[in-house]
Amino acid sequence: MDLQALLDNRAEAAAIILFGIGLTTLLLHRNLLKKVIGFSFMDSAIFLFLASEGYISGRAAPIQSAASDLPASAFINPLPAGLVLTGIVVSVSVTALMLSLTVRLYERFHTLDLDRIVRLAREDAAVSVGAAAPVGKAERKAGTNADAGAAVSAGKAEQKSEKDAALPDPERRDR
Amino acid sequence: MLLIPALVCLAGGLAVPLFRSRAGRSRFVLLVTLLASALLAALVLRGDTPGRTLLRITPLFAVGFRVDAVNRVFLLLIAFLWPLSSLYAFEYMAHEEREPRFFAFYTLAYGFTQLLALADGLFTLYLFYECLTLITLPLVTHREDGESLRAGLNYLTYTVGGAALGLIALVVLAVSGASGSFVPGGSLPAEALPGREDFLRGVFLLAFIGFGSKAALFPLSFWLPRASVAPTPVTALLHAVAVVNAGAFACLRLTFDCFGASLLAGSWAQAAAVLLAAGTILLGAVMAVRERHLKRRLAWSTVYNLSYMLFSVALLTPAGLRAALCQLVLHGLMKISLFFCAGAFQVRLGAEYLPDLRGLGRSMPRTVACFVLAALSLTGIPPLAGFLSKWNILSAALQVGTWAAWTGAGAVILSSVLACVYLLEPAVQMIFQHPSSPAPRSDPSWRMMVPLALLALSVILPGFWPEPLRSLLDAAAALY
Amino acid sequence: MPWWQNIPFFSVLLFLLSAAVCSVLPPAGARRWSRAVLALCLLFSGLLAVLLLHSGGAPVHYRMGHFPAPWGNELRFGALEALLAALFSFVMLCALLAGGGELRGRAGLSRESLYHTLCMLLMAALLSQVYSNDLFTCYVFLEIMTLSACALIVYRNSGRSLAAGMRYMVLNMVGSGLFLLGVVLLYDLTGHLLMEPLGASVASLAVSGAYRRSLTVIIALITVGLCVKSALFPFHTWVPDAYSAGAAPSNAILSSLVSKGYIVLLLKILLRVFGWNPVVLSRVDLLLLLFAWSGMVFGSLGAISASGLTRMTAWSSVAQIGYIFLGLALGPAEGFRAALFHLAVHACSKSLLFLSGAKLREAAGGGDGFRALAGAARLRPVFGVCWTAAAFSMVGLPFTGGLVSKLLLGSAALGRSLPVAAVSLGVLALSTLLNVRYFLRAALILWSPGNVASARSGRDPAAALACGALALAVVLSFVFASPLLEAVSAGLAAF
Repeated sequence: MDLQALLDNRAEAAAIILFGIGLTTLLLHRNLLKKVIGFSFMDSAIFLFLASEGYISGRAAPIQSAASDLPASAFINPLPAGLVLTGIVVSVSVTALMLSLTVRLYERFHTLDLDRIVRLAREDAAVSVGAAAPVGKAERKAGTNADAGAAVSAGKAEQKSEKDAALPDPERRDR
Repeated sequence: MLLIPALVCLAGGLAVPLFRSRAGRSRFVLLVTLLASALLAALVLRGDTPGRTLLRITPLFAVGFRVDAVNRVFLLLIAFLWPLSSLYAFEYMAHEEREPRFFAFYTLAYGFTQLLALADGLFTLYLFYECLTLITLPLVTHREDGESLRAGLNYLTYTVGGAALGLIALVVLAVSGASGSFVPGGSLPAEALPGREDFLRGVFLLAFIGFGSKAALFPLSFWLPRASVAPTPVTALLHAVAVVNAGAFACLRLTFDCFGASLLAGSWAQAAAVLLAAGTILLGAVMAVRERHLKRRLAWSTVYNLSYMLFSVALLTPAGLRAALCQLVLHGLMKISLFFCAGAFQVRLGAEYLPDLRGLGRSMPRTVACFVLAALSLTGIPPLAGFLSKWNILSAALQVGTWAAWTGAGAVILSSVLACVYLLEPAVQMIFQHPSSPAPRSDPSWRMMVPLALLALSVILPGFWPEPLRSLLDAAAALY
Repeated sequence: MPWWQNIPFFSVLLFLLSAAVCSVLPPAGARRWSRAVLALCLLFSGLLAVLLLHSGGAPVHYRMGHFPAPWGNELRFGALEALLAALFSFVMLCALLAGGGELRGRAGLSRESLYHTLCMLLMAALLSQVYSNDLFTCYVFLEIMTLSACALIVYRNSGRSLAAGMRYMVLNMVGSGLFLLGVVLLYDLTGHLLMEPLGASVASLAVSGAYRRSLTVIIALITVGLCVKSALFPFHTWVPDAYSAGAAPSNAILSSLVSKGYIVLLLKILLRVFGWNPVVLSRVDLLLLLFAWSGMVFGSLGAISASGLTRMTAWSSVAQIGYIFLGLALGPAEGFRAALFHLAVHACSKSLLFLSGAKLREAAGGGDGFRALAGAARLRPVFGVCWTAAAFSMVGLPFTGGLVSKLLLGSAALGRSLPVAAVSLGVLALSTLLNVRYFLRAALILWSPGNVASARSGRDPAAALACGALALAVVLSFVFASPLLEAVSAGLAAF
């Protein structure tokens, strides 16, 4: 592996390095915004790679006008550029979705740290299991009675718990 | 045609919950089981039916059924015992709840046991083996308390887990080119063997342990004593006869009709199987002596008596097969009578542990007489049935004469000595000790006594009139 | 060109249009529309499969646009693709039917249309994965599938589902990134995107021995990328949350359709592009085997220690994906057939578990813990029976499709070298044992007495119908395994 080869393929090498940076940021960084940035890095690296591979020096852009009747070999292949464009559209929509999720998560948990968010969300779920028990139609129909129903079912659950303690392997939490 | 009795049972079992009144339900269940038994006996005694494929699942696996000399013995046994224990269950279950469900599953289990016994080919056997496990699960967990649920889960883990080992053998056999149906002497083609003997032997041993789980072979034997939380008719019929014998029967088919004696005879796999069975015999006998709860004690006794069968199977000779089938029939008869008696004690007087049994001879003389008779037979006192089967097993073992067979024979003899201890101890207590509190005469009604009397007769009879049994067994042994 | 060869293209187009239509329809209209479209697609895909099977099984190339094969974009389909399309529409239809009640109840009236929009979009993406013969098209629809799946997770808008959606996105984007990089490198190496010319180039490269290292990297990138997306074992960390945080139909769709879409794509790439020999040369098959084995064991262990019914079901997906990948790793013909059969069985039974499980939970008051669920099956026996049937299929008990796939996997394993076969069979047996420990334990708890009084006795005939249909599919896949397998083999030969 000599340096010349690396220099010749500098665009590719840069793309792969960028991809690595993006991938590690996306995977390992806890901050959601940084994750989104990492994702953008990763995709951009791939587009860079594709664009640099698609370009052949000395050839024209693939725009054919009525005046010129150059052979096909005078142009570069338009397909990689098309792929890059498509890829950018996909990447933008993914970024948009991830950013909107980030906004929602920040509104709810007031943090951007994904580990903390996951932890908070679990506690949230554990708290709301009892309260959110009667869902759906009954909730709307019964209106204020829903709370009473929840209380009744919670009481029943407590009564049951003694008997059910005898069941095989009572529930455990997985974390 | 072969399946009619089984289908009668399945349809009958599904129809049981339709009956609201106890009397109607009892009559219906009795009618269904009697009808099925009569049909089954007629079909089975009519002669052999070659295997017939009903449904092909993949090119390698198909569902088929047959009647031959081997499963005829098993089928006749269950055809005799099922109506009797249904009759017994009517009285017993009056003390328990959820009767309709119980009888529905009890009748369904009859159907599945028949299908299992009729199976032609390991795949069909495996299918109904698993079905039988599942269909008897609600019977084990009948009480629906924590203990019985845990016992049920335990039962499932052992038997389904064991069957998973059987599945390995099933796949290996099919891929090695074994024919889908049973072939006396082994279904593996000779060209599949060279170079792979040890692999196949290893698979055999795994499957033997796996199917042995239902026959409570060590190391998978611990579910059986725990499962005796089930109502007595279940413990008696399923966990002393149908289910556990299905395990032993599966092992028998696996050994003689799939892998074949010629592959295994004299190999390390045979020695390992024999030693496992011998170890289970000793374990069961010792645990039976230590146990103070009557039904669990009997369950441990079942554990090692089943291993008599597995031991005889692992001898790999026609004489061993004969001894195994003989033990299958006679042990079934003896153990079911013991369990029926234990259930009667429990229902009438609430006696579950050994000290409760003192002086029962005065309050329940007829039941105690049956118990003592069956106990004497199981220990192997000569004119009674148990002696015949032990004689067969020992003579088969001595014919083989390898060191493993000698070890097994030693275990059989030692366990017989221990059997005197754990079976005669309650018998002596019942007859010769005084009750802690005098109780009135409380022999159960005719519904329990008729099965008990018939069973007692069947324990005595083979000793004096062995011809029918002998001809059945000889026909089976002649196949190999 | 006979008219029926247009079915694949028009079904994709129909779903794309329906996505637009559903977004403007009122909820009831969107519901009816999406059901009708799914039923239509089920019907025509089934018809297409029958026609293709009877026309000799040769695959059909359907040109898109004006350019012929090496340049243009095309669809390519045989009987297998049509069967998969029918299966996916069937499962989706059942999920929407059974989850309808929950959707109506949970979110405000205006949002249900959006849910159907997402489902339609997902189906369009799924069918393009199945039918498309162009690698980049596959990538684009892969991302569309991921996006709509993520939206399905966060549809509930609870904190937990949002967090689960975010984790889902992060790991899936890693997978997409690896996959895209692999595709781009492959394009760089060969200059093709259509699968058949690609396959020819790869084959000639493999024969000449040039670019062996690059080829290995590409195979590894694409395979691992799709493994991450379909949640094979070491990449499964997002699964338990993502498959349990959403609404019941979302869970069902995600676990039984979305992950299957990626697997179908992987299978297609393995077969059409790489061919099996380069994969074996690059040792990626051993990697897959290792992942599959550990997934089967650790997924089940995770399920055993899960705290609730839905979470347990989600964990079991990890184990079941391991089964499918075991089939893939065991190689062409037998292994792939087993993988495809298990894919179908798992799609039906896992969605059934989620859907009927949600109904049981609803009957028992909404809690997901096993204590709260004791006796739930007695309150709703129909759903209890369906749940139990699906659980039996997961364990691989008789008269369910699960047993057949286990037999197929075992037979396929025995075609490989002895150590591989021995470990595969051992892991199959062990995994059965572990499955008993959680699925049958849960079944025992569901059927045990407890919690007898129910606040509501809401009847939901549509859900009962959908669950019943899925349960029937689970049982029939055992009874009619033989013709099904023949169809799969025929389709696989033309895949």
